[in-house]
Amino acid sequence: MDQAVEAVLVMSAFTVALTVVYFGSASLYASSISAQLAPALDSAASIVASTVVMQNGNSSSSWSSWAPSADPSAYGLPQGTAVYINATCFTIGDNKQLMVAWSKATATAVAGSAGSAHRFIVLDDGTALKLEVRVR
Amino acid sequence: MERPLVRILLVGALLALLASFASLFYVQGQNFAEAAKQTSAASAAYAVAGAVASAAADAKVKGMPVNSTVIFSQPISVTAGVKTITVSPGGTGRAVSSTITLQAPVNIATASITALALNITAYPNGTVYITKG
Repeated sequence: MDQAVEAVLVMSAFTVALTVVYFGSASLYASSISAQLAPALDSAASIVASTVVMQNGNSSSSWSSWAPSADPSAYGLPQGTAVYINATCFTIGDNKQLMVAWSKATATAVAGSAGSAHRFIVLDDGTALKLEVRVR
Repeated sequence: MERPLVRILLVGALLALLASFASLFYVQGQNFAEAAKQTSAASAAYAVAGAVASAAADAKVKGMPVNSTVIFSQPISVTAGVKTITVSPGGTGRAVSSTITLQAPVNIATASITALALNITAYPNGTVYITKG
């Protein structure tokens, strides 16, 4: 084989091998960081859910006039954090069946892997509220 | 060109390439170590802030004091006041901290603690005490 071709082939193989190892380790680092952040996302979702619960308490009138906000700064979370809130109020109808009194949610759902938190509260008028928060 | 000369040039080029990759790996490792420290601090700060907010919300809804405990795998330093919580994982050499400001209507009693576990006591009026666990 021509010496120049041989040199190019060896150099190319060497470069490719090191590049693969470099990007392989980079992706391992990234997945390691993501794994560390997963519990933090659950805590962030808990902060959002708790903030909303503290603002409205168990007052049915407060929850009725409440409008969910997806703005992360409203909960002390960094800009760029995606927040999804879904609140559903249940009541028991005349036929003793569970009925949805009202439901409110932020516009955009957070799909895929995200931190989540749930709250279930009995309100002062006897209705029950289920609050679901997803954060990514 | 003579074959021995080509070999020398090839080995030299490979060594130069190896050195540049070693330098890249070193920088990447340093960046990862720094990111890991920051992530560890942020994760601990969110754990404390989440526990504080959760206890305060439970106390408000239940109308009675609520206690909770947070345990960490390594000692952490917590500095808290009014709505701000700053957490620094201990024993990591260079100090890295993460601060979270809650928007919830809470009033965290001023505290400066280093501990492996934290006790959080929340009252219905939004007052929260963080003590050594």
